[in-house]
Amino acid sequence: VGPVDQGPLCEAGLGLACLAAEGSRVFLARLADGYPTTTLWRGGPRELRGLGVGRGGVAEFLSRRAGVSLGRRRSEIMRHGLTFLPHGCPGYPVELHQLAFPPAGLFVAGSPARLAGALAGPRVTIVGTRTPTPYGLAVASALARAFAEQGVTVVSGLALGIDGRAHESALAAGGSTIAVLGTRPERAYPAGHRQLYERVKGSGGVLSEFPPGFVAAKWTFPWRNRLLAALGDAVFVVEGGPDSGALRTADCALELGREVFAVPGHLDVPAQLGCLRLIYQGAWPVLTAKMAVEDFFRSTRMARGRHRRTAAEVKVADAPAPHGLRVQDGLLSDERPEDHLVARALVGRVCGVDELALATGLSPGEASAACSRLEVQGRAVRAGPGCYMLNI
Amino acid sequence: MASLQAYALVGVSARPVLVEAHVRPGLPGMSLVGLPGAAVREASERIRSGAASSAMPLPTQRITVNLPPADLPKEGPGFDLPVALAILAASGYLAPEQLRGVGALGEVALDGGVRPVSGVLSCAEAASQAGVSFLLLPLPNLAEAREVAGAVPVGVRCLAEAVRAVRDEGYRLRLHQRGERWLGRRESQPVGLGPRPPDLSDIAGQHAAKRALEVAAAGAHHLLLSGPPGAGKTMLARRLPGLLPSLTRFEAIEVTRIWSVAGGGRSLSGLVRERPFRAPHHTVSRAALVGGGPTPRPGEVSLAHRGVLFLDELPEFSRDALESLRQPLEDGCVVITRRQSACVFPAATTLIAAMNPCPCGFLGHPRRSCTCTAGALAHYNDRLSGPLVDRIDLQVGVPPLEIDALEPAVREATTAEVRARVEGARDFRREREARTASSAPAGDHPTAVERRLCLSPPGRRLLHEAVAAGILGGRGYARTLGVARTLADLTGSWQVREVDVGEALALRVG
Repeated sequence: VGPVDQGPLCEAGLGLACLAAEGSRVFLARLADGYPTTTLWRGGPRELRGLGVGRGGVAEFLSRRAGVSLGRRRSEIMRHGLTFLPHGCPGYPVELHQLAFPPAGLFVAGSPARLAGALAGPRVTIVGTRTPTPYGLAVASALARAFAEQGVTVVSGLALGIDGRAHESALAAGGSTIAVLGTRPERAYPAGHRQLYERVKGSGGVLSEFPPGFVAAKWTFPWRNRLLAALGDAVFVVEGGPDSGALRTADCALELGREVFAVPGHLDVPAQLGCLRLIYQGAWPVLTAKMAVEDFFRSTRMARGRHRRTAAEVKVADAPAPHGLRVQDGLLSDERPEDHLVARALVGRVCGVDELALATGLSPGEASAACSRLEVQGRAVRAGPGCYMLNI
Repeated sequence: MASLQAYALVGVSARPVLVEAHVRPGLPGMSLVGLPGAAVREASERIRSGAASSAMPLPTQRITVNLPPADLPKEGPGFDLPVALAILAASGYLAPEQLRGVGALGEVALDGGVRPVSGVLSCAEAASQAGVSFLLLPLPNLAEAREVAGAVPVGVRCLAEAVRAVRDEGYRLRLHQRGERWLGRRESQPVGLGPRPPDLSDIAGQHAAKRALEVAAAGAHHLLLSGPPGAGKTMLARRLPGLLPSLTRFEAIEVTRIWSVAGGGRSLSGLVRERPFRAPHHTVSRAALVGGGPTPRPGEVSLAHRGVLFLDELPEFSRDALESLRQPLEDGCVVITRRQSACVFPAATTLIAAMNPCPCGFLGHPRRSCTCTAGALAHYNDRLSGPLVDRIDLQVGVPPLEIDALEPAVREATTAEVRARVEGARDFRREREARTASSAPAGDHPTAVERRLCLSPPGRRLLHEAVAAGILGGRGYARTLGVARTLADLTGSWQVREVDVGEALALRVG
């Protein structure tokens, strides 16, 4: 199978994908009803009207269809080194058939073989706001790392903030990751993520339902979120405001019957209110990255049945304790008293050196030295200049 | 024909120039040759009126004035007085041999008065080197010239006084005594470049930032303050000059030379004794920041020589301006090359930069999220990445103040206390370097540097762990080690201890 098949399936998928990008998305719903792409692409006015579309809609569809130049599209795909997976072909992700509006095809930047490999295994979608707090970034890192270490592919949207951090951490842990764009597939968006784009391309690959050269619009990003929801076996929302795109992804996931996990936040942090709302609605709260991975495997294996751990099942070892705080009480033999004091003062917050000095009674110099030691040991991370938090 | 010595400014130094005047029969008029600048060419009109007002009208003959060396451009109004004296001597008001070994500078007014000029310190130095017997200059400039040993400055108020001083040695002595009396009256006023810097104890809290200021002052490290609007970044920066040790006489002369050249005719009352603080606005042009112009003039970075250059809203500065700061910050001087000559302006300054974490100011805030668009943020950070930030050793966060921190719970350290510590650290460093100079290994190899700076084994372990953990890169390693050495100097410790390395790590940039 070459990058662009010459067969009728590919021709129809490519044509419909281009039409959908131009706005004729109603017909994608007919794909979900079981009509093959070829019927829609080749069908005359009578057949199309038989699908329950109004006269005007059909006329518009037909005039747009006449304007699509498949030859030019094919050469663009070749030129950018992309692969096209039409609806109905073997490589097309089966999960997308569950969508009310399945894409007519996917444009893939990267190796189709690697993508197929990633799609064969377990996948998790990690999404969140583009304007995260340091806490959100740290949690995204911890989750992506934990999943990557268990061989779970991390799916996200390549956006700034949580998305980018999820991809980066999965790659850093040696895992595989897939990005789904709401923009043209051949170029990184945002442009600042050019290097990350290349690295994700070399991993699971970068997907888009929009053709090369497509100019993104406001609707394309939320529209893309349904693919993020469908491609993961569960969706993790790390941080998001009350009307964040990450919540739309979670809503899509619920419609598809996927499990939704949310990272609990503060009541007074706007960027975390969306997650709190999800938890209120019944999403799984994330307590530790390790537990989240276990819950992910349980919930996806257990045929959609709700299964919560009982209190007894939450073992002491699993109890929520930040990694940076090695002991709850008492000192480890090799731990310095100042480090212990500072680690305790850092629990649950991002803290400047001044505040730490005040809380621990150490001098600012001693407090910052303790922070540096914790950082070198991997127990704390620097959230900003002179600002630390515990590693999660 | 008559001639005497004048001075042309080249950068911040002056070069002796001869002024020759010749009067011959012909159509009345004056021609100036020898690359005079616009202000020098206009001297003819001022001198003609000034001489007439002083009851010494110039002859209605052809006057030629030559300014050798002919290939050195001459700028500024300081040539008025020497040109006037040369013409007056050539036209018989003075004996030409009386002008031998005389230097002069000053602007002539239409009423025959003499007005102050800029760059007097450099001119006096040039006069002293050229071995003139005395130097005639405007009375308000006397304080500067007196700081130079060798030259005998004679302050005059008008052209008539200057002519009489050349003729009459006794009158010269009287003028000298008058100058001393005049300076004595002025010395009761404070000498400085502006209002006194405010005190460090005015700021409540912000101990980490104050500590960073102390370290920057002790080790002459460049510092980046980042924090949301209203956290007190500018207040902190303004207090750094006061933490630096007072200027030595040598440094004071360097600073005065620059300020005198750039002063634009403002007369300084003696040597500058306070460290300069310059805070150019972020719309500053490249030439205004590092110096430039057809006849090169010092920029803000040179005006901040031996003092502090404060760049508020660092990312708002033009990329061009920031890039141009790299070389001065690295070399401690600015080199401006022109077709005819290259000027070197000293620019050994401590840079303090301040910035918001992002355009809206809330990026990384523990509880609030930032509302900047991704593009704005990328653009903002783009300005910062690159070579300028690589020259900065320290970065410290200035968190927004909690209201209870504003209440004076603890006594804050005053500027004088911290300055005493800084001076102690600098003294200790000098002593340490002098003692280790013979035994320390030379070279830039990390092992050699570590031994030279007396890095203790636990400190070394922590530093290397930080490199292994990916917290520090190669450049960050060297900068952190330097800052740790300064921290050890502040406590008077021969060895760089682990706590010094740890604190330096917390202060790193990035």
